[in-house]
Amino acid sequence: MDRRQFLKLGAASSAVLTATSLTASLSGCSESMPLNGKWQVLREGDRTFLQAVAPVMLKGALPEDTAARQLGIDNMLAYIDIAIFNLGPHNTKQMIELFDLLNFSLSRGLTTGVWSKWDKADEKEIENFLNRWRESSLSLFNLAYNGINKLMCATWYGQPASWGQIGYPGPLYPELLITKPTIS
Amino acid sequence: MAIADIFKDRAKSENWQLTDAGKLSQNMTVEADVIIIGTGAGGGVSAEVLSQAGLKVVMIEEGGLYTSDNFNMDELDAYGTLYQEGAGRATKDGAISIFQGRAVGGTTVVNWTSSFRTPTPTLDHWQKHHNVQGFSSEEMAPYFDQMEKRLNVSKWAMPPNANNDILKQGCQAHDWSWAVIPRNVKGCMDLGYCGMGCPANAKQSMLVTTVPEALKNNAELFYRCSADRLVFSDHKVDSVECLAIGEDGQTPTGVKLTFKAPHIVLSGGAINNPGLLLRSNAPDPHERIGKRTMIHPVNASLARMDQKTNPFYGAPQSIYSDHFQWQTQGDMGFKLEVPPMQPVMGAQIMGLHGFKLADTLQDLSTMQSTIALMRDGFHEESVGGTVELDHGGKPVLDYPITDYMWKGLRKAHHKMAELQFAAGAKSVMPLHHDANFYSNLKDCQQAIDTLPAELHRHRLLTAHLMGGCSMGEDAKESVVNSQGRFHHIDNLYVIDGSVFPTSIGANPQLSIYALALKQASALVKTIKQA
Repeated sequence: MDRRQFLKLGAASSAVLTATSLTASLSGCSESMPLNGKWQVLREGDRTFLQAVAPVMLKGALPEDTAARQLGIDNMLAYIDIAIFNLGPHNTKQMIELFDLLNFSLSRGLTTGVWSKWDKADEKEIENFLNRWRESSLSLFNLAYNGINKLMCATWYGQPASWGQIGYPGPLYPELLITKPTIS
Repeated sequence: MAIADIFKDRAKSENWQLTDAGKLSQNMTVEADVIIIGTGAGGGVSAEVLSQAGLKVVMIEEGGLYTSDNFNMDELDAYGTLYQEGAGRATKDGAISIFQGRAVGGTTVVNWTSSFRTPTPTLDHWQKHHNVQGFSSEEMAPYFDQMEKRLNVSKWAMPPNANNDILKQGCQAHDWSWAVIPRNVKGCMDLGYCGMGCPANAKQSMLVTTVPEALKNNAELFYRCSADRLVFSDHKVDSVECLAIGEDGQTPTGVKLTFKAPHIVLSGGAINNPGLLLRSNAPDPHERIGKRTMIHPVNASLARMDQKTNPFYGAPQSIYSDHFQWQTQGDMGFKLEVPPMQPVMGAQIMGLHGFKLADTLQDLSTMQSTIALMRDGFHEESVGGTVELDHGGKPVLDYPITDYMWKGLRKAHHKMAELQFAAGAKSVMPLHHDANFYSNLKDCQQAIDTLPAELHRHRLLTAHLMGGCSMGEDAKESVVNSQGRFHHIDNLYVIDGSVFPTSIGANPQLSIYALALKQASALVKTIKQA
């Protein structure tokens, strides 16, 4: 896809951005909030999206080893859930609307170019989606990219498992700490 | 750390009155001589001064009580517990990240300890253009002296870390002025984790200085207690209604607390003070509440060096340059400093993904970052942002970037790149979606000149929230008078950085401390005379 097609798609998808997320909510396609248990904000569909996108967002950074990689992503999801909750009710609602948009098949296809379900989408499709939102001339997509990007960067690079690769030895004198970090 | 946690030992021996409102099971009403809402730089100093005068002080804090035993230098833990909105606060359009504290001690718990007196040109500007009285350099000097002594402020005597040293070298190479930053620390271990709460109690934040002093003087502290609204009657605040916040730091428990006192002090900072006043429908005939909110917009430049910098270790800020601050030929002035670069801060500021992100971060330990803090509020095209309420009654800051400011930001990118290359950078990347690392100054300059001036592509952030309740003698232009008294209510005072009519042109904490000392001392006199 060249840049012109890309921008055209962007303009069209911007128009449907609000409309479709609203449709998703009204038509009952919006998954309801998690009621209790482990999750404050993230619903199953949201977690599927994050699980699919994290390995592409962090390509070259996540561990090769399957178990270590899954642990890293699981930790990310747990922290992203808290981070969105900490934004407070109004901003949390906006994030949920973004997830609705990403999970409702029509709006997902139009705005991200990914027409298969997230767990079926291949790496190339997801990479195109990230590039598209990052490079879009529409600030709304830049904003959404920034939001997802920051959440993923923070929650991966906040984990000690990521530090070896970037030459960060961790805080000094960890043995003296009274309260151990949540993930250590 | 092997450091006594004063909220354990002193709290017991001095019988401090600490209440976690989130743990209360029924509503309560509390009376005092003075209610102070917020325990940061403004509220902390006010609480110390008022309690030392023998007044019964109650401190109200929305955030939690976290102390040296809790601080563990872990970014995720700290951002989640010690910052507004889990460090995810941003301007209304999401374009500028806002780093602001939310805990007992406020932002002073997480700031990077830089302690500057309010620059004389700033004070002069306030007198000349904003009708502020009593804030000349001469009048302020004794308050700065006293607060510097109180908080052990002195120029950092140890060598700067590499991150700061590169700033110095770059300035020297260009013959730009630079200086050592004064810091409010005592027994600093040079760890570098000021932004996550000092585990050694070295930072002389409000958490370990004025708040404990007030508690010793019989003040009471209610934390996880969110001021919801002020109730007015007859030109007075009759009471402050607060909501208890549960352990998750967000959810009201349903318990309500009502505070009553003859004098009410707002010290909730530049976003939350206007928010509370707007929620309370405070009288505002000239619609000044929330206007002129300043943020020192910050942009950043990353450099790859050919030596180890370990920018995550060592006093985060020890060198600065004001070379482009005041002699600006009409351009927007800025201060040059450096930020600490722990992994989360470093990673989320990049705006990259995939191999590009991984490759860039791989060099974290040889990276240097310079930031420019733009001096907003001094020009007709820089009048700051506006605090308004969202549908849930939460304050949000609408902050526009004007052409004049874009021009200033671009100039700052140029100067930062010049500085970094002169200090030996192998390559430099202005933080912008459309930029890359450039291996020579010429390419970098060309890129800077063509980077689109667009929000969401240009990385912008702020850690300095000022204004929104600006002071001055003209009630048409300001919210409080030069003594901090709300123009339209008799017993309501605002004492913190939200009263600044412009940005400071320097990291604001010492400006807030000195202002609070002055205003709270005057308030003591007012109360005693009444």
